Amino acid sequence: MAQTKIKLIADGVIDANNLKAGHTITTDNIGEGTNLYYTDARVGSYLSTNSYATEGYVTTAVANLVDAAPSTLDTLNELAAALGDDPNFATTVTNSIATKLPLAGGTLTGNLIVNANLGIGIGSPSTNLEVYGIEPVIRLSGDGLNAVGTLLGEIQIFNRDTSTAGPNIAASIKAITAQSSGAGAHLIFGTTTGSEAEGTAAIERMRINSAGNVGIGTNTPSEKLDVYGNIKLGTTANSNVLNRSDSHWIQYNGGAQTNDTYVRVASVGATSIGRTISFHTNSSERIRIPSTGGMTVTNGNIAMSNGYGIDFSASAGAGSTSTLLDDYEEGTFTPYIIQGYTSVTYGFRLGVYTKIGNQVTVSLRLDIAAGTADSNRLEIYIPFTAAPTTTLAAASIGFWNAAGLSTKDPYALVGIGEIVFYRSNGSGGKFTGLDANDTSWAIHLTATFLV
Amino acid sequence: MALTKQRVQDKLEIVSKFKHIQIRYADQIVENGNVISQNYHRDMVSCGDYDAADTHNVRAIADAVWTPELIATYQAQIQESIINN
Repeated sequence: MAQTKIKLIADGVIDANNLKAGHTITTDNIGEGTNLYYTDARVGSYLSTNSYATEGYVTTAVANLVDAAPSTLDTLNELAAALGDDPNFATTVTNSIATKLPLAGGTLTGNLIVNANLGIGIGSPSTNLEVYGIEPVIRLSGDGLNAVGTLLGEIQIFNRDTSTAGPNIAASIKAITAQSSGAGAHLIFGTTTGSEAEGTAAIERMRINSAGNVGIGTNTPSEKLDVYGNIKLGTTANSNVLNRSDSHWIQYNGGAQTNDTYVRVASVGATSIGRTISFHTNSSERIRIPSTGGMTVTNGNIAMSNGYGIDFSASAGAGSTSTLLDDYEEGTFTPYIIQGYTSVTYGFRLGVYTKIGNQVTVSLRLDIAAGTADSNRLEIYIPFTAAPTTTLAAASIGFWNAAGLSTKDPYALVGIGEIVFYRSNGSGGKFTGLDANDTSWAIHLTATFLV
Repeated sequence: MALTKQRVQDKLEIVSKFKHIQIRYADQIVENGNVISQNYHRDMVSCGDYDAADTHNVRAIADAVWTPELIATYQAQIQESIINN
């Protein structure tokens, strides 16, 4: 059934109950412009024309604006608070950035304070400053200013302890110019004792000058190592010491004692020790070479190792055995009869000897209390082996006392480990045996011979 | 430590063509193992004198250097000296 559009103008309420049966009121039946019915298009147009937003539009727009921002920053108030409520935030930020050093490099006009380890070329520095790289270099670049002694660079170790004379520079390493021009420099090492006044620079202790000489205790080293003071060498607290003062010492302290064993080289000093060299052991002077020459063994003996002696050669290289005193010995021996007497009963016996080089002197006393002569020769032991030749006898006899035999003509020869006494019967030329009566007698003699 | 005295054979020498054995004794005063003083005393064992070699405890050396021929030569030399003189 076709619907008939009607125009209703009423002041009252029109509802479906007032309609004829079979009729309904739909928006389709309501004419445009009747204020009774508006189409979606018209409403939309109306809203658009009058800039009205729907709830859905507004909801969508707000959601797009928030764009899933965190709840703590999804309101303008929160955003403003986050920006410090600074209406000139952009200017503030711009000005602040202008005070920062660009990553690409720039000039830092103020102090740089790093409260963490600083790494150069390394991502995880393990010390306050760590420089990493292939053959890394730290350079202190100074200006010599064309003047000698100008500081070119210095590394200072500063002690901030204020308890005693501090804070202060505890130690330093620095370089100063050596010449008014050029690159020559002295490298100086300094330390402080701790008793200096606050602010005192480290005191120079060692210097390597531009010529490569090392000076300790002097800032003008003239040799590769020039020390004004003592030098101690060794592996213990009591080690070797070289002392440089008015008296120079070469000292070895190997034991628990100190200053007990040394060589003293005195260039100046008391008259008694000036310009002398002396050798000291166990706290006693042993040998001295005085300023006037010569040498004195002041305490002890001179001992020669086997095969060595004193060479009296007049000139170097002219030494021979004839000018070499290589043996000295003294001692005792007990003389006894080797041959010529039997059934011997000895009385007092004593022999002493002194050997100087190839010359031996023996002195003996041999008392015969009883015995029987059985030969024309009497051989008595003496030490060392005489070296007679066919033309030169190695004998010099001092004395032979044969009591009761004064008419006889005894003589003696020194032989190989023995001294041989011969006696004449007084008739000359021919020797006879000792008298049978010669049973109690003594020999006293001193003999010098060559070996 | 107390002082001690000891005698040591500190030098043995074979001398002359007859190889007599020359002995040097050192009479030593020892303190803490260190010789602080010593005197020498010499003796000699003639070729063929085995009793003396035993006395001076050099028998092994004597056996090594003395031969019957050497001893005989030495004895002959002694007798020759007696005869010639």
